Amino acid sequence: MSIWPLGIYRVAGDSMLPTYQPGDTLLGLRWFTSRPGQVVVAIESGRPVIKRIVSIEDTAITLAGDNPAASTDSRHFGPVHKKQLEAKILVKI
Amino acid sequence: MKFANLLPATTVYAHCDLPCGVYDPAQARIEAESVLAICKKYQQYTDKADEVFRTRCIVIKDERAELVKRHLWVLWTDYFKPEHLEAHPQIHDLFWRATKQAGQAKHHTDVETAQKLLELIAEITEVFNATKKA
Repeated sequence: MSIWPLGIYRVAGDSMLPTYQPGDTLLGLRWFTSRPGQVVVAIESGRPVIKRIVSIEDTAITLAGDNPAASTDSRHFGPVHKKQLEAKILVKI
Repeated sequence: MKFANLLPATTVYAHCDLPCGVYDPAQARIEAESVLAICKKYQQYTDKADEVFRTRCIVIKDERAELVKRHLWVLWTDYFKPEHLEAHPQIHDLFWRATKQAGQAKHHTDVETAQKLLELIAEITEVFNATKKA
């Protein structure tokens, strides 16, 4: 876990439309308790992805894009481990 | 330019821009299940008062059926290799019939057409699973 509670993220891709557009700059909170419905940054296969938490079962987090037709998410790579979550998105800045 | 755009930021990916090598007929099956469920609802709501709902059913069913085609094409063209064809010579015919059936599912609203599509995807899943075990 980072010692900095806040992170700045920039969106690349269409999978979070209409919530977030490519190029949007977002403020994320790294110290958080995950809950379904939150938009989070997760590290999947070594790179940060932005998705929404659909469900949580113990430590397994199922993620989905808001725009499923353009999203690679838990339908493809399966649930991620809680430890793979880096931040929850607070606000677009 | 917005001030926020000037801030140093970590790029977070909201798409898949890698040939990730992850293939699964479950994608097509889930969309086909949506087609079947929508057909059932369409048949269930026959009242004139449900006209808007029924129109939406058709629009969404067509979108889902198109996604079935898309997912099947990706499997057919990207996942299956010549060695798979040698072991399972029915692959081309099976995909041809399944994608045709997805087209039929766009043309029709009956449950049987959607069910047949799911059956063909189940056949594809069997072949896919066999190639994974080999």
